[in-house]
Amino acid sequence: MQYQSQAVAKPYFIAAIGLFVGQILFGLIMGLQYVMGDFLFPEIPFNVARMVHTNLLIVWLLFGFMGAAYFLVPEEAERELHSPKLALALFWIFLIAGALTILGYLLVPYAGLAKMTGNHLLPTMGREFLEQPTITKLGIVVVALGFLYNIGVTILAGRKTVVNLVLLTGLVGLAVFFLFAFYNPENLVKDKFYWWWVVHLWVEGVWELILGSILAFVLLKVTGVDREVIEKWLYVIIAMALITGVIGTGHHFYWIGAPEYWQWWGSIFSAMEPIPFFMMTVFAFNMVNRRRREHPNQAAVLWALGTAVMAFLGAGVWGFLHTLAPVNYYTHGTQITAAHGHMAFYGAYVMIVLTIISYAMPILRGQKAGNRSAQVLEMWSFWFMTVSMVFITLFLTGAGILQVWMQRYSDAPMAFMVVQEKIELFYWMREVAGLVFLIGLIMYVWSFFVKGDERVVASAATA
Amino acid sequence: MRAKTFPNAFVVWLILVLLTVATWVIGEAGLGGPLVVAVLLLSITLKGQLVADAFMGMRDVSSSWRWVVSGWLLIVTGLIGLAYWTGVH
Amino acid sequence: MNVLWPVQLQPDVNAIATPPAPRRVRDLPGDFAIWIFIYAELLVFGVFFLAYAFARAGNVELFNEHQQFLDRTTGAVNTLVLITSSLFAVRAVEAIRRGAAASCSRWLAMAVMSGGVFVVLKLIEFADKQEQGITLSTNTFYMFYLSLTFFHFMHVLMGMVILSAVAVKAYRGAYSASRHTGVETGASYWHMVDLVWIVLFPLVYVMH
Repeated sequence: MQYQSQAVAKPYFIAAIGLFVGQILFGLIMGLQYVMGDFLFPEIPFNVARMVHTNLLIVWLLFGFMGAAYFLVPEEAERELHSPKLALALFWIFLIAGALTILGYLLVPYAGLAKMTGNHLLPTMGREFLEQPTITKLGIVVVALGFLYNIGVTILAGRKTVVNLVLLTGLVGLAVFFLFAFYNPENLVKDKFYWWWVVHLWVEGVWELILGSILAFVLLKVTGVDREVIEKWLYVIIAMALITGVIGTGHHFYWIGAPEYWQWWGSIFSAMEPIPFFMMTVFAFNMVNRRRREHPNQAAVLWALGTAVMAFLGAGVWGFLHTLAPVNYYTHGTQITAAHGHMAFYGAYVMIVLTIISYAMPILRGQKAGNRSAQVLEMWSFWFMTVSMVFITLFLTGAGILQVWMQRYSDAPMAFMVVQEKIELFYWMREVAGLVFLIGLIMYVWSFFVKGDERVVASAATA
Repeated sequence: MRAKTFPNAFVVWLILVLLTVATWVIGEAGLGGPLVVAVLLLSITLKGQLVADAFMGMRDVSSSWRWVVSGWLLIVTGLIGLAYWTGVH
Repeated sequence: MNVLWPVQLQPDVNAIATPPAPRRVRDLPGDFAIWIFIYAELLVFGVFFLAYAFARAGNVELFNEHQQFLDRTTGAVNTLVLITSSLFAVRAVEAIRRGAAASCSRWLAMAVMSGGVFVVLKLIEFADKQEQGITLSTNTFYMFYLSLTFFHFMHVLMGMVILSAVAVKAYRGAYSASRHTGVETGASYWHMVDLVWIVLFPLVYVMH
């Protein structure tokens, strides 16, 4: 660890992994509820499990992004973090607020939670992914502002690298677009329209900047390729991501009552969204092929390459599958969307956070890399989680294709629930794949506790 | 050394101007139909290749990279031609 | 100097067997990254052009009817402005290759000013359409006309920003006969903006 203050990243990473485990458990509960509708009813109804599953994902990714920022910003800026104390205080505020919100979802009926938290004063609740009570949303804003202040001051006072500036831009964008979570117009079309400004412009806009800069940072460290080279790639990738992603928002506006031209704009621009992801894959493999050193942390290299490939497949290819308006006419809101959502979130954002954790955690624990046994286990966990996610995606895609065929495309369309019963087998297989994912996740967590001969790694590094 | 290569940038510019004026004349005359479309597409391809070769300097670049721009021109004009053809029938 | 060459495209196996011929082939002018960007931009525009062409195939009469109301003269003048501007950019690159930084800066400034002429003419054209009450929702033809020209318009502005930055750097003596990647990079982008308009003008304004 080059700077003492980088240590504040550690609790963020630990919390991220902890919430990740929670997310997967609720995912499994929900997956089972797909085929056993009354499982855990009335304690955890499907809608609550779904809310917890998606909200935990967002919260733990945010923990991961913040941890990543606290780790890499001081190193890039070549100075200590402006205020490690503030970072720690915000950590606890965010964790407690997050935990209370999740408990609120689980223990109180949603309408009751809305009443308790004074939603009527400024109604923002009840929208997918933005279910958090208004006070939690305000808390997120406070945490985000404190966080941006902390790393912003550090970056502006220190060495300004492209990695740092792109990361800061992405994080500022994240905070700015979250403000649309407070805009909740009566008009349902407008409501949906601006709702996407949070959801889409996060994951297909500013988050890609965060992803790109973290990936660039890790590649810089593990390959030793010239900074100049990596920075140029980063510039081009984020430029492409923004050109395609911002207007690409239109692929959500096809059927919500927005003007018709969005069908063209959305189709054309979002069809190009795979390009920056493809460039990211070329970038990652290229840098690793041109590496100037063998970094002892081979697990981090694997995660970095995995991120590039899976982000391209999940966000790029699976996104493209149903992004064109004539296709989307039949596929929107089916299991195709779920398939894309799973692989894109895993491939792009889960994996980039696991990449930076994989790289940073050993350093935060006073080693250059984990010992060989720990790395081997971590790499196995990579393959378990990644392969099972591929299968989850494939099963959901299969379910989605059948669903589109029977419920949408057919001359004599069947009812929703009838179709759901017919594709039950796919849901069972998805659940099994989900269990394998959980095994991979347990292996991943376990890998942090594996002890081994540290010298082996040190000698392997020079070999 | 580059400046001596024929056609030099000024000659290319002159050809581009003439082709553009021709396009404008066709437009003002209201000419249309398959033959005119073909002529216009040919003129687009020629102009595009001239810009790529003489202005962008692709003439001296290794053929793979040069072909990306030429290929783009051919695919785009070719498919535009196809789309116009399907519009006629 | 090209640091970003991603793959060895032609592994020089023959070089061992046969004596090397005098090589005329050189790297792409300017920074390699801008070329990835240019190719990606060409792809975006290419798809947009084809969407226009195929949408027209389904609405030939609508497209033909409204196309005749476009301002072809302004469009043609703007084509001349852009190709002339491109020529200025070529001269700027030639100048810096000779090491004439002041001349390079002047040519670039002229290229930017030509871009300014394009912008003014385009704004007049847009204002005229707006006065007639034409919007993106008027019909599919105008949707494409406005989208394509506006998207290209944004690229002209972007190109002007890039060229201005390069011109200022050239004026300050940041480039020389041996180091001028920035000039080539900016010029390459500007030619791309020109190239796209060369397809756009006949396609949208004239072809029917």
